[in-house]
Amino acid sequence: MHALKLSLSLTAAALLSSAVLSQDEGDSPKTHEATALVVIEEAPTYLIQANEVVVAPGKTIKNGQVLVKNGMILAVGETVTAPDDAIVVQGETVCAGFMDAWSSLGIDPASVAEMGTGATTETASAVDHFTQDHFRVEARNAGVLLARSQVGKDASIGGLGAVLATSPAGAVVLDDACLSFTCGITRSGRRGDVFDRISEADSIGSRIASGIPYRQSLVEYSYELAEWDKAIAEKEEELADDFKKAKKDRDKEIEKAEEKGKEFKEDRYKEDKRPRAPSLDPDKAVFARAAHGEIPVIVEVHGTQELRALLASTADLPRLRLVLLGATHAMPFAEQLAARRIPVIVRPMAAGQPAEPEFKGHDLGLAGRLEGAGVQVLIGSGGSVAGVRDLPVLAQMAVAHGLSEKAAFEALTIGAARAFDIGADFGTVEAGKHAELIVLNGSPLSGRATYVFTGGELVEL
Amino acid sequence: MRNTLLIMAGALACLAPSASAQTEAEPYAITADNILVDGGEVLQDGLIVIAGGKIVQVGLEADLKAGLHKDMPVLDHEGWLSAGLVAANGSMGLGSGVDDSTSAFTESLLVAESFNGDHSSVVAARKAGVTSFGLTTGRSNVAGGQGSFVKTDGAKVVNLRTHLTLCMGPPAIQSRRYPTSYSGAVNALEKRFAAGEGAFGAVTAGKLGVTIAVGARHEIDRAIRFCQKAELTGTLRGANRAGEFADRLAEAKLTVIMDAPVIGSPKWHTDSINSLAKAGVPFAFGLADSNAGAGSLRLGASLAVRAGLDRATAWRAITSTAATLAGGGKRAGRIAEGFDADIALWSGDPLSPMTRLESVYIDGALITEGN
Amino acid sequence: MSLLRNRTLVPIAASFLFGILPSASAAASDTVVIEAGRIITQAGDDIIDGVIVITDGRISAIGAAADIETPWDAPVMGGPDYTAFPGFVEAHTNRGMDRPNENLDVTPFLNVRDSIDPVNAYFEDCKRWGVTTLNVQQGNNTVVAGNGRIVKPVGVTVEEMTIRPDFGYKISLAPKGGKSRATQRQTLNRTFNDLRDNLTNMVESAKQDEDFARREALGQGRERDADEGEGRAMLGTGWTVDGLEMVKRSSIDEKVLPLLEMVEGRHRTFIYCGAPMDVQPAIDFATMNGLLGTATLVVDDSCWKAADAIKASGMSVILDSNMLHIERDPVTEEETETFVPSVYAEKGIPFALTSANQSTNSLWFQAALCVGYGMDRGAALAAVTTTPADLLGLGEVVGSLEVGHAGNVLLLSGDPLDMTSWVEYTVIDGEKIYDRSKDIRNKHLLYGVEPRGATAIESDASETPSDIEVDGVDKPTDEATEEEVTEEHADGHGDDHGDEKEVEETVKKD
Repeated sequence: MHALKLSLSLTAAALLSSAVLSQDEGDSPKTHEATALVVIEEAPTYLIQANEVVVAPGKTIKNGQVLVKNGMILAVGETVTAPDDAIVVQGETVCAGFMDAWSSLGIDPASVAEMGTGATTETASAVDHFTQDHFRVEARNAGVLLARSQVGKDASIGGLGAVLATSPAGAVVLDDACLSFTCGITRSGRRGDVFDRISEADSIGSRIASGIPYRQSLVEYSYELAEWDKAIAEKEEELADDFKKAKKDRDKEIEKAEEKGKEFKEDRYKEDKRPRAPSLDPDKAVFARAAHGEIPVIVEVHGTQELRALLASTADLPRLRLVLLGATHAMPFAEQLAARRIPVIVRPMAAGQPAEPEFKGHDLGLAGRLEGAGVQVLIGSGGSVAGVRDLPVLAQMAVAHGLSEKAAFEALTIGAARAFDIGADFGTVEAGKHAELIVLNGSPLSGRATYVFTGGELVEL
Repeated sequence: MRNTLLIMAGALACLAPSASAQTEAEPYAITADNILVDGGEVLQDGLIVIAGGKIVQVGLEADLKAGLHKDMPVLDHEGWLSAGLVAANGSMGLGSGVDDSTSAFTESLLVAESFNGDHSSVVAARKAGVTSFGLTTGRSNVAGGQGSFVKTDGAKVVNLRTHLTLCMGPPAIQSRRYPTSYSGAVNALEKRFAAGEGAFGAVTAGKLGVTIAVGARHEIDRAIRFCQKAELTGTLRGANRAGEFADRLAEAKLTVIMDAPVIGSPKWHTDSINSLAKAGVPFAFGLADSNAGAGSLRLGASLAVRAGLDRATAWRAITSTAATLAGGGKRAGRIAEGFDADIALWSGDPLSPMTRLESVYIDGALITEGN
Repeated sequence: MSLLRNRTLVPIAASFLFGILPSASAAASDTVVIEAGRIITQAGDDIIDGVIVITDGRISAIGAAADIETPWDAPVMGGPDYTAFPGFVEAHTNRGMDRPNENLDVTPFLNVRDSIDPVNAYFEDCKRWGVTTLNVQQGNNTVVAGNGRIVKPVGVTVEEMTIRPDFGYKISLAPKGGKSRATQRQTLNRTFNDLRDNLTNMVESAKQDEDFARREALGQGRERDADEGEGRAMLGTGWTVDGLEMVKRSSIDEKVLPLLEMVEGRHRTFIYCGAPMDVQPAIDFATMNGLLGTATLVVDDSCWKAADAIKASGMSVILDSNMLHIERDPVTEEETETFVPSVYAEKGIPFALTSANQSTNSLWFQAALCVGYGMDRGAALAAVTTTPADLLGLGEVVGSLEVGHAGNVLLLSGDPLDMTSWVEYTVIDGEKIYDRSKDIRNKHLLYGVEPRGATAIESDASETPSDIEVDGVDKPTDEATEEEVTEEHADGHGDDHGDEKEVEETVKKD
């Protein structure tokens, strides 16, 4: 389980009743970690040799080697020990696969457009490998091997996003990657004057905050229940000890009553009432997770008024991990964003597309300026499914307007992986991580992919 | 990247564009780390000399520097130098005056008469590095106005009558005026070509180019047949699917102007481009039939390269081939002696999306810093 | 039963008949004998010149005429010109009902008994085309729908029609109108999570009550027997809730109880997949909730793409009536056609066909179409007889002609898959419930015979009481009658006597 959640569960496990536990986690414990790949004994071993092994942003091994088996990276170095039957793959460069941090890839389009999503709607339940699957194939062939996809793209609360692999098997890498909101957008018929938009921002903060007293009430209940259980067990022991006497007394009373011809009245038995369980609210359970920083919260927001209100309404949630999406007018708040370590996912766009009002004033220099102010920048396709394969081009466009190449590469690899809690398994070329790799005939951003390792398979292009 | 400017060149930096030609009185030279001569050829550490608004010398710095007049101003650019981009067609500067749709035949109208060189779309074009383009009408007429080859530094018309635009599909074919059908349009055009007057006569005589606006597959097919029957060699415009007809186009000696690919363009678009290149059909990217801005030319060329097109053809599609198809092929689109000094200076390889535009020169005068 | 009239059609080759009793129902047990030139049993080789004996609604003997001794006094049907075939089994339908679905998402407390309309034209068509067993379920526009039932197309009330009451529930993975898949799954998951929580809470509550009662007794000094749970422990291959035996089943809300029973595997479920992306989630959902052994997939025509996943799960499928899947590749723009049943046949997945909405595309037609597309005849016929019977748990009762099975027999004028064959007689449980020679619509279609009642009734005052209006039609020309009759047929309603007629008072008073 995810670290934070584990500690809570362990301390509370002994105290929480099963009903509370199962409701809080859904019908099975939420594993907020990447799913492991199935091990195949007869899988081949691959030895990748490249002029440049880009281990991580800024860290390169010249003329290096990478050993891969069963979809895992076994070793990385200038030379590695490889079995004789290892299949050799040569290339100019090898680097970690790209991740689209703002995507609609791999999920059913009607679910993306759904406006009725809620806090517990899961993107993972809308995974679709049949409709328009050629977009996934094109993305994979361009080296985009992971996508953080989201249903309810234009809804005020989109629900739980997922990280999906673009491999042929298309695994769900993480089914609760984030909780997503939008604030002040005007697509899909959502209109609003500035007061509406500000109140939207306020409501995001207050909804997340509502998770805290909710979880608090569950924890308090569990303590109260434990105390009551203890006390009642002691009481029951006492009652058992005193039973013989009580029985004698009662029999006497019955006799007396019979003699008198009266009806026998039972003694009234009193005990402390059991504490009442709080009513369970699955939505608030999700907000609680968000408020405690167990999952990041993504908010698509562009305008200055909404940004100001949003940052204010979330300021008192110290453990909240906020990530901004779009953030066209984020620069006035750059200092605050840097101080609060709030990353921004930008969608670089060529001039003239799209024309929605919330993107007005967008320019390609945003990424570079945010980087300059110390804000972590991530890059995404913005939900255009056809454009995911051009993600590296979008990154290049941001570089043309001021983003450093290192930051662009980090945004597409370990930066995105870390922001969505899969950095331990993806995002760099290091032993022990999943082998999601691209072999290119040029530099990572501008080269063309010649091979792709994904989902335990090698794809030759 | 910083340019080191000497005093004389600096005095010219803030000239406002106007209708009259801005030519340099004094010759000057520019050196650059890389000079993209024409797509396939790159001169490393090259030098060009500009005089009277024209390129007069191109070569290696090592070879030419010594022979320069000692007082000649030399601009040293760290980065790449190339010809200014050329849009094979576009309607920048026309505003709402793109079409006159009252009649199906407006072949005697000159599009250049509505050209406003100060229009924001023209300014945006040069800020994207586009120095000239083929000014053209829309598609509202079976025979629209005659287009021109223009520069983007004010209402400078280089060649007044370059091509006649024909359209035999919607919206030229409408129910409210004659002709209302394709066969009606063909019939009417054949009559006019046979009569040989005005623009039609000029086309037949080879003095005026002809462009046919198409879109869907069947429109391309019909246009090819029309040209073959009427014995016209011209250009199909808006023909994104032309690659499916590559062999027939090559045989009919037709050329193609299509939209530049954009982010997320479907694979058939880049497949079409690759097919044309393979069949040797000359093609270029235009702006008249899409909503994409001038920046789409360069981005489109780099996306085409990413999808497998060779660099040289991709570059020419936004420079020399575009200029030829736009009717200015002898003047613009190349870094070569005798050509207009329409120059772009870049931070890197212009075919890389990581490169930014640094400055633009038209006819030797510095027009703008890049975006 | 007007067997006497049938007798006129039966050739004299029925050599073991020693006489014809004037009263058909005189036999001591209700026995009927069916003769046919060919009997296709769907349980082995065909029988040439065979005989089927049906006693009390069940097949008591079947074989070559020479081998079977038939009761001398039993009425006989059929003859050497007929082909006998088992009644077709419709694996899944929502026709014949008032409305296929409700507006609410989760309605397991509803029952199709309340919406089946015995006089719906669909049931008439079933008799005509020899569909003798139907699994009527609610439609697919739902999350969890109500209880279905297995019926025969004969009967004046739903109870008369019923073969298996309270049979099957529909669950849909494809979105109900107004939802998308994300919200559909959310509702479905929440429904079953709520079920689990509900049950857990009830158990908890029962435990606490028991604990309190125990302590109270201790406190009062009273001996007490521990409360034996009045409920049943929860079964199930998916998840279970411990301690459910402490909860009386009758105290479980009617909205929740059917779901519990589904998870326990007490009910069959029909899980609808509207697209290939629904298939694996459907299998996962069924596995997780212990439905895998009792669930059948009902699939849309595009789901053949996920056939491998279905094969791996071991589930059977019920196919959509549209069996040709046509789609255009978004990249190449080529159109491809896939004949869906062949995909399942090749992969060895048990599949049942269903009839289309038009009257003529009944099960025989669907099977014939499969053969037309290259499927093996045996596989096609199985898909409309034995496979659906097995799917419905009625493999020992219907779908084939064997001793002990229900007497559901069709007498056809030719091969069942032949376009020119007619169902001449339909027999259900030994009773002839359809006779083509009396099928008004059929006769009108083929021979231009007017329906009874469409011709003028001679107004005869002596026959009709003077104060009663008689529905009669004015003596019209033949053309007018045909137009009226055509209208009646077109609106699909009405019984053998035709509905809308010009009402005219033809009463004459003396």
